[in-house]
Amino acid sequence: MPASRYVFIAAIATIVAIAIAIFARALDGSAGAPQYATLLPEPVPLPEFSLVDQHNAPFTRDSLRGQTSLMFFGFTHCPDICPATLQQLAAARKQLAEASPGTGALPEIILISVDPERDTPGKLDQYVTYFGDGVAAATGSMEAIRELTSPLGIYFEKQPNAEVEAQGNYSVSHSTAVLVIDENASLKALFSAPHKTESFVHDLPRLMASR
Amino acid sequence: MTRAVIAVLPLLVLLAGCGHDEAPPLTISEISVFAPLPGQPAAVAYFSMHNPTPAAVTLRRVSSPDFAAVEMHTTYIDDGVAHMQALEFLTIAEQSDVEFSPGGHHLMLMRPVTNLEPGDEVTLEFYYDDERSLSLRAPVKSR
Repeated sequence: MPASRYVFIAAIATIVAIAIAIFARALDGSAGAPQYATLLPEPVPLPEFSLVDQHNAPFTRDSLRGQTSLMFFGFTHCPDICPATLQQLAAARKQLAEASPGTGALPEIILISVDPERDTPGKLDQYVTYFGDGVAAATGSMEAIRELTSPLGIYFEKQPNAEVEAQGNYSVSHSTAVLVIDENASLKALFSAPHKTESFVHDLPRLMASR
Repeated sequence: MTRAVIAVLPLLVLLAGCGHDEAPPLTISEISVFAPLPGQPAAVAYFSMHNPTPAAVTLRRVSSPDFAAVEMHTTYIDDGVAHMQALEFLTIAEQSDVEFSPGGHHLMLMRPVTNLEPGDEVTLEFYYDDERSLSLRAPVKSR
């Protein structure tokens, strides 16, 4: 057989292999590992906790069962990173909904306010409604919040400044990670800041598809 | 002679911007003023600053007749934790840019004097070294 024929056959085989790979990926768009999130080796069950949501209804670990949740810790007076993150999460959720209309499997976004002094359920309701569908919030006493945050290594602390505190303008330092909670109320993965909408859009279908 | 004039020209341009009534030779662009979120007392502003001159310029403060107070703040992330810190001043190095953007520097526009709606305009006054100032109007947007 002439050498040119071997080359021709090899080229055809390569093209076929690439086409099969592309076809297989197209059939399963959610395949592959997440690129931006840190996937835990095994999901870690959340601790028991007892908070109230923006409707003043109980919000516990069981409230998270049966859905994927994206949990972010912040506060409504936070002018910068909190609304930016919630906006990115809401935009990602919207893009996922538009990419797969009617499938129903969309993550719920949950802001855990670490500023219960100012963030009453009523304030939280007013705030999260702004970000659109699928965004909820919860808070509770400092002790109740720490029941959730401490075992997860989530940090928050009111920044000491007597002058601004007297004016009600104090800030709260807080962890920036977005936690991915699976349908069994276990911590499955986390996104670290700086956050990007594109990262959420890329990884969430893969995280939600993997078991 | 021609070379001497060319050499002095940049200095003259720089000096022309140094009077107390003169605007500093900086540009501020891409201003975004976001209305306060529901129930919140502060709006926020982001923008780009460019210092084309061969000298550093210090932004001392920003004020606005449309807000009770304006503060420069920065968000910084240390070991995965976000902290917010007030900036007493901000120096823009020669021939460089400084961005005010989400997750970094931002202007806190506190307690608007009227109920701000998207489409309204507000005034921002930037004060630099020697009280040189630059006044800009910017539209209010929703996030």
